[in-house]
Amino acid sequence: MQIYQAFIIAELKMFLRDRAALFWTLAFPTVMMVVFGLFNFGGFEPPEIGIVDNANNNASKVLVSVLKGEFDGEPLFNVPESEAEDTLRADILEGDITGVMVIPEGFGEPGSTSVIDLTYDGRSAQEAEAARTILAQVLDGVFKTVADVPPEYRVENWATVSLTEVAGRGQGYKGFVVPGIVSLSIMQSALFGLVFTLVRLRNQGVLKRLHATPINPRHYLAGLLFTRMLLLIMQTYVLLLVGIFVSGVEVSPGYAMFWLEVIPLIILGGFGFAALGLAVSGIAKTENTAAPLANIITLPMMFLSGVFIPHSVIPDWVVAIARWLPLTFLADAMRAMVNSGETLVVQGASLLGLLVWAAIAFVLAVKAFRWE
Amino acid sequence: MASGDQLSTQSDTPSHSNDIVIQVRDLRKSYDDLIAVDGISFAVHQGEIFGMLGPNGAGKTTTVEILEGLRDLDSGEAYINGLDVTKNSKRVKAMIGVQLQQNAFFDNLNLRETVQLFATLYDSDVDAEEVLAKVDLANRAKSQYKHLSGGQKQRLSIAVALVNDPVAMFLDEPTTGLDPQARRNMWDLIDGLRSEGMAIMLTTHYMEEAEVLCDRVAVIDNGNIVANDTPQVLIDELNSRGAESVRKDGVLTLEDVFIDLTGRSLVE
Repeated sequence: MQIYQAFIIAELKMFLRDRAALFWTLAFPTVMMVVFGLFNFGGFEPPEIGIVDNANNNASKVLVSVLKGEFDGEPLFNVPESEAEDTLRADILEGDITGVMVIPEGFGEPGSTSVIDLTYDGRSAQEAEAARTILAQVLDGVFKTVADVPPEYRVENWATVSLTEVAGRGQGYKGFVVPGIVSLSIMQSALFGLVFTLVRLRNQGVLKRLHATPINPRHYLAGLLFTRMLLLIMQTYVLLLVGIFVSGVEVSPGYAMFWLEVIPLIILGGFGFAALGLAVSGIAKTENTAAPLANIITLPMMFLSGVFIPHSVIPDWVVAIARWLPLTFLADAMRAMVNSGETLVVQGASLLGLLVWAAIAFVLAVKAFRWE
Repeated sequence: MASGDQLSTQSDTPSHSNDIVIQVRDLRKSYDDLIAVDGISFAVHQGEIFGMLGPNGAGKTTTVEILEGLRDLDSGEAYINGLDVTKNSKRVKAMIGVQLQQNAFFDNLNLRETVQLFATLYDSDVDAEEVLAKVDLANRAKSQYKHLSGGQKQRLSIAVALVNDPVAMFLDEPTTGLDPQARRNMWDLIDGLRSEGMAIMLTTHYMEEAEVLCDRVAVIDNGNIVANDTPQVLIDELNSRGAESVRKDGVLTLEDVFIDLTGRSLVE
């Protein structure tokens, strides 16, 4: 026990003295988070709009199928499955969808002007405006194709769109990217931190000198991992605070226990990546081979795990594979907790995925570890 | 075991000889095609400095690292205080002091912290300041390792090797890369350790170092010990054969012994 304690204290001292490492651990993800927060990748995607069809007639069916892209294959709206108005309105408040459009009874029937209500999340005003423009254009087209509308009618006399704003929790792309970068940073810090520390100490001969003492690898590695976990927790807190105060994202709205519940998630995810780092450091002989090897493992995850590129813009067959990656499990759980204030326990599937990965990585690490 | 029984019948087995600390018998070790150690035997006694003199690649470091429990042996026997190093590696490690050829410690720890950390690893409650004073580094106790000079780093590695009050001390090329002044300091320090009663085994490719420090010298070449005696006896034997010195003043040294034994010069 004394040996574990001695290594933990020594590791903490060394880490706090290594100011450059401390700085870069936090600076890089902060810059990334702020820069990505400036982008609006959400604008390239069809807005997520629920549709409630109270008319259920020929005209409304044509309108809905055009919006869903059932004619030429390109959906104009990303339409959720539910058609129940109450459910969809609740989804807006939760931030799950941008808005809901309600097609009134008697839509498309001659002699009256129907008003389509588009209720949207005030936080996603840009997407709602795009949705309104699309809807107006589609109505024009539908108007001309629906046979029983008299030709002298102008579209404005036939149907109009009214906008209603509500305050929902949608955080747009910023809300997507902050938990993504937080998760990415856990991976990078855990994996690269371990790889470079161990490869350097091995090349210097420090590990060999430790091997000449009567200790076991676990005595030393436990201290190294423990310190890294503390750092990961601290780093996650700092980056979430940057998300709150710089990017203006709300973190786990209405659920303060998040700040405690996120710790087991960090440790479970971080341990797996640290173990992977240990394995890489055992396989790589020098820093020159360690860096490419670590990059081969982390780069695909950076782009495919839904960290700053949403899975909705990645081909389905790639997503089918990418959803099993450890960073996907971590980012999914982190995002659900950060954005929607979900609790840790409902992330069971992601936690199980991380646990399996951690076990695999640990076995690899034990096999690959070398003192010299 | 058969080999153990055979061993106990011989006169210089560890159990029968009080002052033998390090005992090696017919040690062999190969790496792939390269034969590093080709059947060497020797013993090092309490209070003795035993030198292994030979060029790089002669098998010095391999021999030392087998005794330190860092490498497996292919065949032969190696004992420290009667303990088989292959079977009791942890216990052996706990009672020896080690200075590796490429010695390094944590860059960002200061000297006191480094000595304290290693003392804990050896389950020793030695006073870090006292150990540092022994190697004349008390005034650098609060300096970080990375700020030390080469000579100071070597002295720290001796300090760390002393934390467990070892019965045997292994010094693998303790003065390689040091300037002459630092080398002299190191010699004084090692000479002082002899009086503490431990068995000291050092490797070197410096003739002068072997002559100054060692009570006995084994000349090792291509994994074989080609001579093993006191420096004076080695020189006297050579003298009696009427050999000539490479030095201008005609005084025979270990270097002449080495050239005579191996047919080539040690330092190219």
